[in-house]
Amino acid sequence: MDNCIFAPFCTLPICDKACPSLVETSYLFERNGCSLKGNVPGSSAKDILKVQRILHADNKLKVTIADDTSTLANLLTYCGICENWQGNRLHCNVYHLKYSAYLDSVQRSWGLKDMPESLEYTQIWLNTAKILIISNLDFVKFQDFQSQTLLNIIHDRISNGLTTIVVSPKLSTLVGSGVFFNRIKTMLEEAVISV
Amino acid sequence: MSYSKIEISQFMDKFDYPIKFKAKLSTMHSDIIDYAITHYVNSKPYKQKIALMLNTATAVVLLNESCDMDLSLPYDEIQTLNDDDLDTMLGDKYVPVSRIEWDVSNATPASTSVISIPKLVKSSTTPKSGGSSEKINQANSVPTVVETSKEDLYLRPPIIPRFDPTKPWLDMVKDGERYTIYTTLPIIPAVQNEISVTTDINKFTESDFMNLYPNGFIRTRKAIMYEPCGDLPFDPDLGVILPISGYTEDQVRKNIIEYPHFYKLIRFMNDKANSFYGQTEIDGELFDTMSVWDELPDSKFIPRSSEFIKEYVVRRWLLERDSGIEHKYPMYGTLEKFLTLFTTPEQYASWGYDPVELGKSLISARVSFLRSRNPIIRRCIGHG
Repeated sequence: MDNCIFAPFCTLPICDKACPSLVETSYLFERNGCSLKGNVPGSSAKDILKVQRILHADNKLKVTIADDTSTLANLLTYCGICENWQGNRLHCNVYHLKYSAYLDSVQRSWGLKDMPESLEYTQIWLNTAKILIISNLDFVKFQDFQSQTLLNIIHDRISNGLTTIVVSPKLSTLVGSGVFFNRIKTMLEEAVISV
Repeated sequence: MSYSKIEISQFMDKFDYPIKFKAKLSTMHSDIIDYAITHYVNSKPYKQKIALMLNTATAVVLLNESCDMDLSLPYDEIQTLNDDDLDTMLGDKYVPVSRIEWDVSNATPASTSVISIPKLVKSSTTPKSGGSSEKINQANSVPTVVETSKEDLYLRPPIIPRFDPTKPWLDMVKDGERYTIYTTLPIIPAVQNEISVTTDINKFTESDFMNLYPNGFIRTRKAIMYEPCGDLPFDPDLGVILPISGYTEDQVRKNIIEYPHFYKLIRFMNDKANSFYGQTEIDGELFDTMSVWDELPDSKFIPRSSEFIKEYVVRRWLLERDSGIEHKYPMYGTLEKFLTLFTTPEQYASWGYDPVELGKSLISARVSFLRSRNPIIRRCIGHG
C-alpha cells in the first residue's frame, strides 16, 4: 500500500486493502481531502506539539490565529485523525470544513430542486463530527447569512458537547458587517487560545 | 491577536483549571493578588513582575515546577520562572501582562506571607502524544525533569506518525499493487517508539544512543510480576525470577534484563498464525502448553495463571536458544536482546553493561524486529 501512515512500523501479518487500520485512517483522510504526499506528515515535532495543545485544550470552542491558516488547518486535521481514527467505524469523527466552499455549495443548492447528496453529507459531518475544524474564513464576506450560519454551527455543536476549532487569520482582518458579524466576532475573540 | 482583559481582582475566576488543582491554585493566586494590591506601584516593571508571579504559580501547581516565591521581599527580588519558558509551558493558560487590567490603587506595604513550594525532582507534563516526552530546562531555577512516559518504549507506532513523503525508503510494485514506505522522522529518533524499519543505525552518534534511555525505571512486565509470589525468588527491581530447570537464578535474571517484555509473539504453523505462548516445544515436538503444563517439573512452583505461564514459555525458549539449542519450530520474526531499554544507563552500568553498546543493540534489535515482521518488506523483499 502506498497510503498507509503506519507502514514503517507495521507488524501485522498481511498488508492488504482490508486492513482495519488502513481502512479507518484512509476513510478519514479521503473525507477530509488530506494528501499524505503533502508537507503535513513531515511537519516538525514543535509544530505537532503546538497542534496537540490546541486539540487537548479544555474548551469546546477554540479559536487559533495563524498567518498560514491553510497549513495549520491541514495539520490539525492530520493530528486529529491520528488521535481519533481508532474505532471510528467509518464515521467521520474528524472533519475539516472549508467554510467559504461550504457557503458556495449552500448557495448553489438554492437553485436546485433537490439538495445535492454531497451537501447533505457535509451537513451531517459538520454536525456530528467529534472534532470539527473550520478554516477559510478569510475568503468570506460576512453578511447576515454567512454570520448566522457560522453561529448556528457553533451553537449546535457546543450544545451537543462537540469540539469545534476555528482556524482564522487575525480577527480584525475578517471582512463583514452587521449585527450578526459583530456577534460572531465577539464569540471568536473570547475563544482565542494561544499556543 | 485579541484577548478580553482580566481585572486583577477577578483573576482567580477567569480560568477553567482542572478541578483537582483549582483550590490550591486559587489560594496561591489569591496570595499574589493580595500582595499586588498591597504593594501596588503603577509602573511597567512592577506589573510585569506580578504577571510573572501569577504565571509561575500556575506552572508550579499544574506542571509541578519548583520555585520559592518569598512574598516578604520587595517585588524586584522575588524569584520567578523565566517568562518565555512559562509562555511555552502554559500555552493557553499563560496570561501576558498586556491582558491584565489593574483595578487597584496605591496601598501600604508589608505583607509577610510566603509561598514556598517544595523542590521537586520529577514532574509529568507530557501531553497525550505520539510518545514524545519533553525535557524542559530552566535557565534560572532548579532544573526539572519530565518522567519518560511508558508509551515512549512501546513497539507500537507513535500516535502521530511523521515521515518524509519526498523520501521513499521502499517503493515497489508487486503483483500489480504499489507498496511504499517513506522514511520516518526524526531521522535520529529521540524516543524508542520512533525507531522504524527506515532507521539507519549508521547515522547515530554516541550521544544519540544515550538519548534513547528513559530517565527512570519503567516496569515493562505484567503488574503481577512485580509482587512477591510465595517462595519464588524476587528481585526488588526486576520482580519475580521464574524457576526454569537447567538455568540458574542469575541466568534468568539476566534474561529478564535482556528481554524485558514480549509483544505479539507468534509462530506460523501450516500458514496459520498461532500465539507463541499457546504451544511449547519439548525435545523437538510441539505441545499445547496447557495440556502439558502439569507435567513440567517447574509447574509445581509457578502459579497456574496466564501471565506466569506466558513468561515461562517464552523465557525458557529464549534461554534454550541463547545457549545454542536449535528449535524445530521457530518464532515468527526476530527477537534480539535489548529490544527495549527500560531503565537508566547508570543502572545498566551497575549490572555490568556498556550503555553505548546497549544503545546500539536497541536500535539493531528494534529495526530487526520490525523489518522481520513488516508485511510490505516481507512481500517485496522477503525475510527469513
